[in-house]
Amino acid sequence: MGRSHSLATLFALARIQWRAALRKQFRRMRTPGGCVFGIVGGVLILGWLGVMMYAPGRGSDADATVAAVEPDLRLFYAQVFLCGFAFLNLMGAFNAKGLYLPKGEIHKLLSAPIATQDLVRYRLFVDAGKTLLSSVIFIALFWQRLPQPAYGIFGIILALFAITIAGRMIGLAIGNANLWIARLFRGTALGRVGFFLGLLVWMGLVMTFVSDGLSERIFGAGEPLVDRMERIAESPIAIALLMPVRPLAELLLAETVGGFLIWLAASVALLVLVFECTARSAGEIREATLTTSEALAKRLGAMRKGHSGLMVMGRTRKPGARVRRLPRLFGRGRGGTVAWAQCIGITRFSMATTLIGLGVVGMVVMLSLQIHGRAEKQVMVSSLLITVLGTMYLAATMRFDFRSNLSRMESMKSWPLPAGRLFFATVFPQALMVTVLIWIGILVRVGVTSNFHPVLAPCLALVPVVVYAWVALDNAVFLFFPVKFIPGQDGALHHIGRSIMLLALRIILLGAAGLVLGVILFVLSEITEAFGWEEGLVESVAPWIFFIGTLAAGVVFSFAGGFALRRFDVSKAVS
Amino acid sequence: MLEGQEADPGAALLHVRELVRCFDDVVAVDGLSFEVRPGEILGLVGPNGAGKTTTLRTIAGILPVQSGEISVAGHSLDSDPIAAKSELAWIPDDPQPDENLTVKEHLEFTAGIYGVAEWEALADQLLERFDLSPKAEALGGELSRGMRQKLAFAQAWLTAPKVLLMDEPLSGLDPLGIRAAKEEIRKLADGGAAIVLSSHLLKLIEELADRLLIIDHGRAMFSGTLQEARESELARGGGSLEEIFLTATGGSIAEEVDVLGEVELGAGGERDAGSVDPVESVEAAVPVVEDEEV
Repeated sequence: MGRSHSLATLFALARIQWRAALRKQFRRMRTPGGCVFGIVGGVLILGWLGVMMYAPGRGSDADATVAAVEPDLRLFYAQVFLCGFAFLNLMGAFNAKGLYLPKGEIHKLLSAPIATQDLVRYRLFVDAGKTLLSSVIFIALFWQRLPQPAYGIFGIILALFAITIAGRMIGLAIGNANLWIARLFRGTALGRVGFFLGLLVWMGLVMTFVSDGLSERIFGAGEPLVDRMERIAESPIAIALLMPVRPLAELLLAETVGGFLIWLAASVALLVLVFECTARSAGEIREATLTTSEALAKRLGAMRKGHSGLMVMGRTRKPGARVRRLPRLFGRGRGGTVAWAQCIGITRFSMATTLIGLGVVGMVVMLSLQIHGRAEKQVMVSSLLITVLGTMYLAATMRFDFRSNLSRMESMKSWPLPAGRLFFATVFPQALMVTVLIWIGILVRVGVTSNFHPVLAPCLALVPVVVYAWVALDNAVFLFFPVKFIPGQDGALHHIGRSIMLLALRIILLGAAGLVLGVILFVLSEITEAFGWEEGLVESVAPWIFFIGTLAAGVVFSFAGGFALRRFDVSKAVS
Repeated sequence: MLEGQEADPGAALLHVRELVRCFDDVVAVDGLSFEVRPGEILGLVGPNGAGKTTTLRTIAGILPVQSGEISVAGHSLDSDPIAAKSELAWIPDDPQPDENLTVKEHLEFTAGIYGVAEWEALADQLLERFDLSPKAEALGGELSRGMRQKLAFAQAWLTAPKVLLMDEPLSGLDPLGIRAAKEEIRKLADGGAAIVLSSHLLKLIEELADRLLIIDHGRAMFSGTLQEARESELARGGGSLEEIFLTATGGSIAEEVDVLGEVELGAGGERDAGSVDPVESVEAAVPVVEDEEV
C-alpha cells in the first residue's frame, strides 16, 4: 500500500468514525427519554455559549476596554496568553509520550501496513478535528474582545491547532526511544515531573504578581502594572521567547484585510511546519503508543466509574508494590465485609483522597471564614456551609459507590445479601469518608477562630446524617437511571441533559423531605402557641427534629436504593 | 426439589421449571425445564444467542425470574433468594474482580459474604491448587484474563457450593490451568455438587458432562446422557457430539448456511439456495471464505 493510499484509507476511517458518532447521537434521540435528555443538554449548551457570548460586560464596554489598551501591549498579552495555554498543553505531553489510539484501533493500525508518519498525520488530523469543537468555546469567550472578530476567529482556530500539534510533537519526541531526550527521561515519572514543573511555574507567577515585596524587587517599587507590562514586553528576552506565537497573535488581533492575509499565510505556514515536523520526526513510537493508549484507556475507564481525573492520577500503588492490610472495621458479617472492601478501595486511592479532600475542605473553610456574625450563628452557618458544599463536591469527585462498581454488578447481584443491606454497606464507607473530611474542616475552622460554642456538638452530629442522606439519594437515583460517562466523550450532550434532570430530581426529593420537616415544625409551633408552652421550645427542638428527619430521609433513600438495586437489570447496556 | 418437599439425598439440587425470560419483545428463554442431581455435571450447549448465559444468570439470581420456578438445594430463588444464593456459586465467562482488592483479599471477601469460617487455611490451599500463590498480593485490576478466571474458580471453591454454574469457564486458561480446572470440576462433582457447565468447547463437554442439555432459541432441543444422544435420532449424521449438536440445532445452522449459500450462489447465480443441504453447504462455503480472506 503506497503512502497516499494508506493516508487516504486512514482519512476514510476517520470519516466513518465521525459518521458513526453522529449516527449514535441521533440513535440516542430515538427513545422519548433520550430525546428529552438530548434536547435539554442541547439547550443547556447553547444557553451556556450564549451567556459567554452576550453576558453583561462583553458588549461595548468590553470593546472600549480592549481599545484602551496600547496595540503593542495588546499583542504582548495575546502572546503571553497563547504561551500560557501552550505551556499547559505541553504539561499534558509529559503524560502522553506516544500517540493515543482508541482501543478499537490500536492493534489494527499498528499491525497494518501503514507508515508511522501517516499514522501520526492521521492522529494529528483527528486531534485537529476535536480542537475545532473546543475552539467554539474560545470563540464564544473572546470574539467580542477581538478587534475584528471575523479575522480573529481564524486566529483562534489556527492557534489551537498549532498548540495541540506542538504538544504532540514534544510528547512524541520524549517517547521516541531513539532520541536522547527520551533517554534523559527514562525511568522518570514524567507525569509528576510535568505536574511539579507546572506547579512551580504557577507558584512563581502568583508570587511575582501577588507578593508586593517580590514584585517590587523585580519591577521596582510603586511602578504601575501597565508600565511594568510595557517594560517586560519591550525586553529582548520576552520578545525572543514569545516570537514563535507572534504570527498567531497578530492574526488574532488583525484589523485590516492586508494584515489578516499576511498573518494568515504566516500562521498557516507555521502550522504546516509544525505539522510536518511532528509527522516526519516521529521515529519508533509503537511502544510509547501502546503505553500511552493503555494508560489513557485506564484513565477513561476509571472516569467511567465516576472518579475524577485527579483521582485517577493520584492512585498511589504501583503494580507489584506491597499493599497495606486494612482491619475489618465493620465486623465480619456480610454487610461488614462489603463495607470493608469499599474501605480498601478508599485507602488504595489514599494520596488522591487526602489531596482532594484537604484541598476542598481547605477551600470551604477559607470561604466560611469570610462569614461574620454572632458566635452561635457563625458556628451554625459556617458548619452548614462546610457541610453542604463539602458534601456536594466531595461526594461528586471521590466516588466509592455504585458508580465505581458498575462493571461488577453481575457478581454483586449474585451475592447472598439482602439488597437493602448491600446498598447500605456499599455507600456507607464513602459517606463516612466525606463525614470525616467535613468534621476536620469544621474543627479546623473552630480552632482557627477559637469559637467553641455548645452548638458545635449538634452541628457535628448532623454531618453524618446529612452526608449519608445525600449519598444514598444520589446512588438510589443513579441505580434507577444508571449511565456510564466520561466528560467530553461520546454522548456528552445527553449526559448533560440527564445530569441536570437527575440533579433536579434529587433536589425535588430533598425539597419534599424538607417540606415534611417544615410542616412538622410549623405544626409544633402552632401547638406551642395554642397551649401557651415555653416560647423557645421550637427553637431548641428544631435541630433535633432536623436530625431525626434527615435520618429518616436517609433510611427512606436506603430502602429506595435497595429497591433500585433489586430491579437493576445487568442485561441492559449502560452507556 | 421445590420448597417444602422432603429432603432426599439423591434428589436434584437444582430445579428449573418452565423458565421464561424475555428482553422487550425477544424471548431469550422459552419454557426451559431441567434439573441437576448431586454429583452430576450438566453440559449446557447451544449456538450463540441460544439463551445459555441468560439461563445461568437467571439461576444465579442476577436476572429476575419473569416466569417459572427455580430452586437451589431446596430453596426457592423467588421466595428465599438469600438461602438459595448461599448454596450457589457462579463463574461468569469474563470474571470482573474488584480492582482494588488483592487476590488473597478476594478470598477473604468471599469468605465473609458466604459466611465461611476458618477460611484462611483453605484459601492458601486453593491459591496453591489454582496456581495463584505467586499472585496472592496482586490487585484484581492487575490480573490477566486467565488469572481472573483462576481467581473466580478459587472464590467459588472456597464456598463449597452445592450448585455451581459455569459459563465458558476455561476460555482464558493455559493448558496446565485447563487440566487443573477439569480435575477440580470433576472432584467437586464427585464430592456431591451439582454443576452446570456451559461451553462451546464440545470436547470439554464430552469429557466432563454426565448429561447434556442442548438449547436453541431458549428451548430444549435435547436433554439426556451422551449415550442417549448417540442412540437417538440426532446421531444420524455421526456419533460425535459435534454431529449431534449440529443436527439438534439444524434450524439455526441452516439459516446461517442459507446466507452463506446465497453469497456463494449469488456469484454463480445458478442454484436455488433453498435446496442446499445445510452441512454440505457449510463445508462448501468455508473454503471459499478462507480463500477470500487469504
